[in-house]
Amino acid sequence: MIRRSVLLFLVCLTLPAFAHAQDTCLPNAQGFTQWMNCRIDLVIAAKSGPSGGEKQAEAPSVADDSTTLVDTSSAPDFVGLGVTLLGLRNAPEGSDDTNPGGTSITATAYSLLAAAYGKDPLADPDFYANHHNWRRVSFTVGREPAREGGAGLNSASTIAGVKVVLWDLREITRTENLTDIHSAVETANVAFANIQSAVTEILASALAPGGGPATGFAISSLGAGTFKATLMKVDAELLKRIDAAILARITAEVAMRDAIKAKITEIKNRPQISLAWSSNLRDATAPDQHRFQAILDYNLAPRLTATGNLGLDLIDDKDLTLPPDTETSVFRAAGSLKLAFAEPGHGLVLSQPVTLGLSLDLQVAGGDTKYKTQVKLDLPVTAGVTIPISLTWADRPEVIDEKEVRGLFGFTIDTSKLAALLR
Amino acid sequence: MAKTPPPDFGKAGRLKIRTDEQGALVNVSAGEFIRSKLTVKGPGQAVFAFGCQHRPLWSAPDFPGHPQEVYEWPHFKQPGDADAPADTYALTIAFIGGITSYTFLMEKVAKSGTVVATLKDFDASSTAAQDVLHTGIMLLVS
Repeated sequence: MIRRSVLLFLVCLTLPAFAHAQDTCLPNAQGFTQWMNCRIDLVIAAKSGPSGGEKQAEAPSVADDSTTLVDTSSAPDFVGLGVTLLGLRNAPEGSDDTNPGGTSITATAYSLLAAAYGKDPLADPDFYANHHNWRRVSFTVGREPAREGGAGLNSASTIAGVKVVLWDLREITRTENLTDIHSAVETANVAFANIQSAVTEILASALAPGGGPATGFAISSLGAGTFKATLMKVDAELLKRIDAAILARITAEVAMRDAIKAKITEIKNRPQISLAWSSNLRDATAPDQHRFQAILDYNLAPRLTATGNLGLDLIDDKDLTLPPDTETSVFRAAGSLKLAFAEPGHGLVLSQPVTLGLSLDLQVAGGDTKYKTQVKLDLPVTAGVTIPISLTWADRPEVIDEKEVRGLFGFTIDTSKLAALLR
Repeated sequence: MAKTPPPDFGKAGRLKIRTDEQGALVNVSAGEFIRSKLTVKGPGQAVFAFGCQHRPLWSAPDFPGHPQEVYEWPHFKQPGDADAPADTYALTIAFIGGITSYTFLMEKVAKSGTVVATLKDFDASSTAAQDVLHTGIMLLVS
């Protein structure tokens, strides 16, 4: 008899713990608000079951030490840094080509304008929204060291470039991009008010029967200091009633989430076109190289991005005598496919999955065609910081200034993504 | 290496709650009203809605200066503001517009303009564009 009483006592003692232990939302909830949002997430997840990286921070492709063969259409919103740390080459025998790789920094006109106004470029929504066109223009400057004796096209150069986004449909702050989202949020908001009212009524009737209007219960039992003790009393049966009440009013919430998800996908998949000029500028004793090109980015699938470059490479010989086989005017077409190994999990701002790129660069001059191909792996370290590793093959050694193959390793920083993470 | 704590809401949401009342009595006949203020930060435009159980009341584009940094609105100052004696009001904020941080302050204010009580005061931030947060409060007017 005593044993049975002790057992019964222990069961009674542990029952409430078992009851609220089923509520996975409660342990981490700072307040009733967070608990409600969590329960809605759970109800939607139970109902529905398991459920672009075009901003270039690297040096432009015209730089021999760039880790990319194909340029993308836009630059980071604020400042991007590209560093090539290591070049693995079949350097000519006896060569003292031990220089580290090139370094470049890219900034949008927007970031310069923000600095001039003393504004935080990523915190002030008015400033960001009202200066959309300033984000279309970006500048790159950098330095590429000399190699293989440092003569002619192998001498040290200053990297300079300008890129202008001509056709940009991916700008999220465009009002027309969000019109239907505002409407879906409004509808879901009214639905949430009804969900919260229904849940509060259920809790009040179950936990404080005859206690008067639910408002009194909400004031006394669901505030910051009391909500946890109140929700600890919710057993499995009551939780089921709450979830059923949420489910009955969830249509607008699901519609809003679907609309947001569809909008993110739609915006990411829109094409983007830009025009770019990039150069390797040298002193009077060596020629300059210029690249003029049009750039198109297009998402073929959520994880597959295609990029195309079409343009002209020019060499300004400055009346110097160049090696006999040097072409001063080369038509160039390049394309790449980039595959992401994970579904972007953080929407528009911080999506940085590991990506694998395959690129082809064709250069036509005087009826002769040369090509380069590249395999490139982008390894994200944290938001905004990526390590690109590339391996390039050429059909002719002179195309990459080496005998057959080059491997490059570096890192890029997109400060806008990094800052967003640190905020 | 320290394990990243799970988000407070959505995919990457973080909440810092100072006050989170779920109910309040508002003596409208004595001139009390509710004042709400939403401060936003981030490279984008705010996407939010404020409403009751019966209808939407305010949305970001309703404000003449939208997009802006601070949105403020009163409630129960105009006749007809209350649809029912007891009604649940809700704020929904979304991060798709590029905003990375919202601070919401809801106060009960006396006719004289003195703050009688703080009903809501929290920071919600997220770097995930698909994240959404709702908060609600049941108000009983007399």
